[in-house]
Amino acid sequence: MYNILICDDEQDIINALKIYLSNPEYSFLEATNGRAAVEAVESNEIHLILMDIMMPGMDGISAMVKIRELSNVPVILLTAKSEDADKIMGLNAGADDYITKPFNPNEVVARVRSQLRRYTQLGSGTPVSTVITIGGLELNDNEKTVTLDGEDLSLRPKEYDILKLLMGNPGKVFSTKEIYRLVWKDSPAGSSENTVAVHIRHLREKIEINPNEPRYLKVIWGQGYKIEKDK
Amino acid sequence: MEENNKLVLAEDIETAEPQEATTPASPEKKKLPLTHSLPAKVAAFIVTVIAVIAFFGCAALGFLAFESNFYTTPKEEIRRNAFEGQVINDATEAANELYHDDFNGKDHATNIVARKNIAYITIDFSEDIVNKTWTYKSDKEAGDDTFSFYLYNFDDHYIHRVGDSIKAKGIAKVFVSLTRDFSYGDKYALTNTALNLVYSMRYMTYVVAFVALIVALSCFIFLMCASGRHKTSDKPEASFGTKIPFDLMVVGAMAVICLFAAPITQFRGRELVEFILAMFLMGVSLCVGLGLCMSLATRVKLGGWWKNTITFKVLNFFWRGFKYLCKLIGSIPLVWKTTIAACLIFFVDLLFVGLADEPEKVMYIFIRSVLLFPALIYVALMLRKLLDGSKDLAEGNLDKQVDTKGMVLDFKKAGDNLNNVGKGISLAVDERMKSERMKTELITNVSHDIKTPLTSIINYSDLIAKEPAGSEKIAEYAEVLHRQSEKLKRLIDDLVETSKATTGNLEVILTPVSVNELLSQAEGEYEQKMEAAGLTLISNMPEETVSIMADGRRLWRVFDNLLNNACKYALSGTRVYMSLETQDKEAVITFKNTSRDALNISAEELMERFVRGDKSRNSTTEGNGLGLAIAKSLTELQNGRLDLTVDGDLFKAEIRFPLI
Repeated sequence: MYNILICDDEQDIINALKIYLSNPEYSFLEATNGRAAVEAVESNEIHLILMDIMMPGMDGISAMVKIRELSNVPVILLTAKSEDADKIMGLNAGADDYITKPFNPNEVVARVRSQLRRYTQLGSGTPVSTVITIGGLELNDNEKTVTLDGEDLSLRPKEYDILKLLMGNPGKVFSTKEIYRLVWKDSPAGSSENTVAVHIRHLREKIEINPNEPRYLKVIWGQGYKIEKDK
Repeated sequence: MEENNKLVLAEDIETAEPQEATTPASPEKKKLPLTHSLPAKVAAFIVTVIAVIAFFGCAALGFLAFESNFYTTPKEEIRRNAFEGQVINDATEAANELYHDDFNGKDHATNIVARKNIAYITIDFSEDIVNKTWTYKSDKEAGDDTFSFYLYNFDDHYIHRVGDSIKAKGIAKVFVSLTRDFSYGDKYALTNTALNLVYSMRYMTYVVAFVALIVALSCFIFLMCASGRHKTSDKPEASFGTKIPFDLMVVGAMAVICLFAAPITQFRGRELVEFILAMFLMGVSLCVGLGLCMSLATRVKLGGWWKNTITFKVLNFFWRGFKYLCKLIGSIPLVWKTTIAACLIFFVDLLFVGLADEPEKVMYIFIRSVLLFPALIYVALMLRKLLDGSKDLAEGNLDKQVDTKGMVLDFKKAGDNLNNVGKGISLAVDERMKSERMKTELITNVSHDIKTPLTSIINYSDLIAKEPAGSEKIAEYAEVLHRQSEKLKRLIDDLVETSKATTGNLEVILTPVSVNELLSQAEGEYEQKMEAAGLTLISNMPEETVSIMADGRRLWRVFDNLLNNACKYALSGTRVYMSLETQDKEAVITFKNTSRDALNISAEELMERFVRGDKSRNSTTEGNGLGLAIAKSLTELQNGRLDLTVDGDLFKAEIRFPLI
């Protein structure tokens, strides 16, 4: 049983979220402003918080900062502020994820599940040298398997190779030419760059909840691709 | 005589008119104006030269006839006068022979007069100490022309006419009679023929001269019209001849004319050979002159005839040099200019006064200069300060102030005014910036407030649609609600982005970006989407990496918008082209696709906000038409250029970025 705190000044949105997330494993708490959210965290055991930023009284960012003093609970910001600067500020202030309004309900459900899995499984199992873990993404080179938040992913061999290359060098940007040379073990020619780009796209669709706003496999436009370093 | 000229002229034309000689005369296929025909031009040229020569010839003849009183004197007297000179020559020669040889050399005298048109000649020395008579008689019949003279042969060996008062020791009487029919080909015969001709034509010559003048003038006008016209085109054309500087041509032509015409003035006009030669030389000069006129006519038709002259070029050269000098002087810094000018004036003053040798004036000049010099430099320095200040203003450095310290009177006023202008403008600019920022902020904030209720609308419409108990119609209406609210969401996002991009309220970080890489990435991203829309994406790019300075994320947004548009509006089953090339230090990225609907709209209108490819704003297509406006603004923010072209159903977007 997971306790999920939904904090939004709009009761309609709270209700909608409750409907979408309705699951026998989840129970919900509600708060309509930041202060109420902090109080709820103080008095209850919360496993995940969905929080709006713009609220009367205490806003979501201040509330999150307060909550971080009390708990390590995952916080997903759910807000109408969609600018990059807002997202960066939210994530830097301690949020684990960021969803913009109006949201896609399926995406919210997926992200909530992902965060809960990570939160509850965190620290379980000691990393082996052949296992690379970045965020919820785990690549086991012995078994040639990749899991995302504990769930197995079925990747094609080339997709696996690309992911291994990128995860083995987190933070490093690889151009399509380099990827082709290192994965295909061939010098790039003709449409080879296109092949790499298509594979990356498929890979993103498999490992990202929203492929257009990737968390792990980032596109550096005009330069290449990289896997973000673990925080 | 005219036959002779014609031959000579025909040769001359080819050398004097090379532009005509180069065009072969071929039979005309279509009806062209006569001015375009080469044979007509050649004929006109020849006719002009002949007519001019004829005019001058006839005029000269007329003048000769007039001078020789052909109209008042009877023909017989004219004849006598014409023969007289030759008769005196022959008789003097014979008499000299006879006298010196004391009649022993009769054969010599006979040789002199034999085979000439002299019927008989008697030289009578009876009044002299010699007292002898010599007679020669040919077998020809004597004519009407009889001459008798006194011969005075001791002192001047010259024949004097009867009636002249002569005081001399030795005098001989001479009688000469010429033959009737002038059958010998000597000078008498020639004179006789010429005389007869001139006499018979003494009235006719004016008519011929007049006609020749008219013909010459009309042919000349025709030639001027025809020059530069060719069979091939309606417009006048330059030819080889017009490439020669005109004044050089004039000088050359003048030289040729002088060379040929100068001997004419030396001719006495008494002999036929001289006459023919004069005609020939005149013909050559005329050809050259006429060629020159035609060349000028061609140049005038082509326009700017003075440009291809050495004179113009030389003057132009000097003018440019003068302008350059002025520029050079203008580029010397103000203070230096003033100093140099002041020193020059001082020295000139000193020079003149010094020459006058007046020490007190020299002293005055010196003191005046010493006082005036610092003042001049001060003025120049202040002027420079004001100049720099106004330059800063003009360049938009509004916060720079003119330093009015040390400025006095009007300079200070001018400096203060400049500063006030700067303050005023910078205030206005700040105001404007602030209002732009506020506008963007307003749009952003309103969009946030709209999004919250929108979230509920989207979610609940979704929930209604999923509700199992509802009727089919309710689900359908909910679906419409859901679709339209999704559209509203996109519209709000685009609106915010447009407002930011157009007001420049968007952070752009320019870094080196490989366009090849970006195109490959774009291809990867869009492969599936294109396939779903029934389109084929074809990309062309060079092997070598093309790098530009851009913000990768923003540039991707531009590509994204353009490719997205292609997916939405391109005709299914066609190809979408994406290509990269380099042109004049620019990277050119081109997107091309065939529109599904007719593009009854201009490229400019397409770019404007809220205008979609179809003017009817067909709501079945997605999107809101802001994509192109955003793409354009974003490209410009990164110092690039986006141009749209609509050609029928072909839609083309061209992005240009300077290469690194």
